[in-house]
Amino acid sequence: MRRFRGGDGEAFPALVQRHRARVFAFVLRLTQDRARAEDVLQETWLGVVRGAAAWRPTARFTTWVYTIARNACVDAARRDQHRSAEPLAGDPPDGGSSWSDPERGAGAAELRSVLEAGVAALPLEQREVFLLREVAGVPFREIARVTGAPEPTVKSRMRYALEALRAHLRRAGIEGDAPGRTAS
Amino acid sequence: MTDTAHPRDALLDLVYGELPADQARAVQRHVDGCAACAETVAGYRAVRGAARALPREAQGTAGLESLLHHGALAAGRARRRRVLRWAWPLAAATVAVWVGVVAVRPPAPAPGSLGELAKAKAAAEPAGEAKKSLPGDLLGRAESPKSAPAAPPSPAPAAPAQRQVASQLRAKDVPRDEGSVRMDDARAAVAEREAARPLSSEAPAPAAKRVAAPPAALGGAAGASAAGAPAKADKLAAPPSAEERRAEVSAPAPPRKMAAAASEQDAVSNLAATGKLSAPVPDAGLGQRGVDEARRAWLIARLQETKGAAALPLLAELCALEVRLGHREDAVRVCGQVARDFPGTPEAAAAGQKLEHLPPP
Repeated sequence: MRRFRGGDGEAFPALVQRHRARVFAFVLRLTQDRARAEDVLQETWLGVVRGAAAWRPTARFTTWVYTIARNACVDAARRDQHRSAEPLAGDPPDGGSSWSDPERGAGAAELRSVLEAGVAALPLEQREVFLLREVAGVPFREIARVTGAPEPTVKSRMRYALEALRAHLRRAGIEGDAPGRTAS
Repeated sequence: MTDTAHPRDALLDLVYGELPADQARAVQRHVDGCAACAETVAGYRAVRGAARALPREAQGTAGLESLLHHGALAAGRARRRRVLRWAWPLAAATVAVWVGVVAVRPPAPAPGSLGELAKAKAAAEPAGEAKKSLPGDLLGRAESPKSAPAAPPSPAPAAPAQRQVASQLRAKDVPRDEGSVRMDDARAAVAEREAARPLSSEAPAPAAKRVAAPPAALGGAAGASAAGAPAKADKLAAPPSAEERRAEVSAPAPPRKMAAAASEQDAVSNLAATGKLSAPVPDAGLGQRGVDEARRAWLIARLQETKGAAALPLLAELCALEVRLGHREDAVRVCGQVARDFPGTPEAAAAGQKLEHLPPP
């Protein structure tokens, strides 16, 4: 990002290459709509270009770009409120077909489907925290900056999200990688 | 469950690896001895394991090309901003110093100096002109002596407003810096040119009351406003004759030693080399003509380092400036070069039009 701000023409493609997939995964699951996610992704990177002059090296680039992406999602949801009663919840994304662990086979397909539904059912504030931490890999302290919520609040939302998903998986008869019940 | 009894946030940090090693060990010890926390951690890890099954979505490439193009343009703008951030203050400072030098001319041209020589030449050649033509290598042709219609020597314009501006600028003049040799050379060249400018028969006035002519540009713009002046600037660098040398010996020392060999072009080259004259010059109270002259000098300096197609915009602008400043011969030369060297371009067409509409000599 420093190079891009300094006028290095090759820095921006490198930035996009490095972060685009994760940002898209976050945006797609937050918006739950592929077409909208594509738009938001474009808006996000345009926001990076427009805001490059204002970016300061004291801020982590990932924090900044996810802040832009998250705000673009919220804006897109507001724009669509007239068309949908539940703007950020819709059909689960029809994403790619690859699994991180191919050995899971059909069971993995079921797990994926159940988990997608569980994530889609989370309240927005829990969903965004879960996706930022789990999909985008943003630390809790940075998520607090992205969402503008205090870090303890972020962790509370994460706990609620994890517990809700754990319960959702158990209801579907999926125990996940570890046995046992979710603590209440 | 309380944070004291069961460190809930720390459990989350533990699962996501956000605890420092020592704290992680402490929390892990607690988890090992606490069934409730162990179950919580197991539940978190179960969801994390399931989340790894989420596919990495293949993002579309729609708009990617235009996005990258947009980024490249932004990077270019950032580059230009970075350059201009330094260039503008430098250019402004250069102009301010230069104008100060022009305003603070020595009280009398030093006998034997270039100014004196020019005056002597003026007496011998009243119909000459002080205007120095553009450097030959800029336009790819040798300098040729200029002929101008005979005109009586006339003092430089001395409008009261200019006098006031010059006075103000003198007050802001930067103190002489012994280290800035190049700047001194530029000052010397400018002062020499000013001394060479015909002052008619008026007695040299004290510097504080001297009228500063509109700042002519460096590098060939000398005395542009004094067309018809009696001295030829291209003879400024000529060695003094025996009589002139004798006059120099008997004359009082000049208040400030001028670098006799420093031509105006040297001054431009020095300024360009040090980067002090590397950008368009803002109006620092010079008036439009002064700004134009300064800009002209900058263009000439740049053109000496610029070859090929990159020279086209510089030449085109210089053509327009020469026309606007009334430098007829230079206009013919520069605009002609644009038309000749870059045929078929819009700049060549515009230069041709300018040539057609040049006022008669």
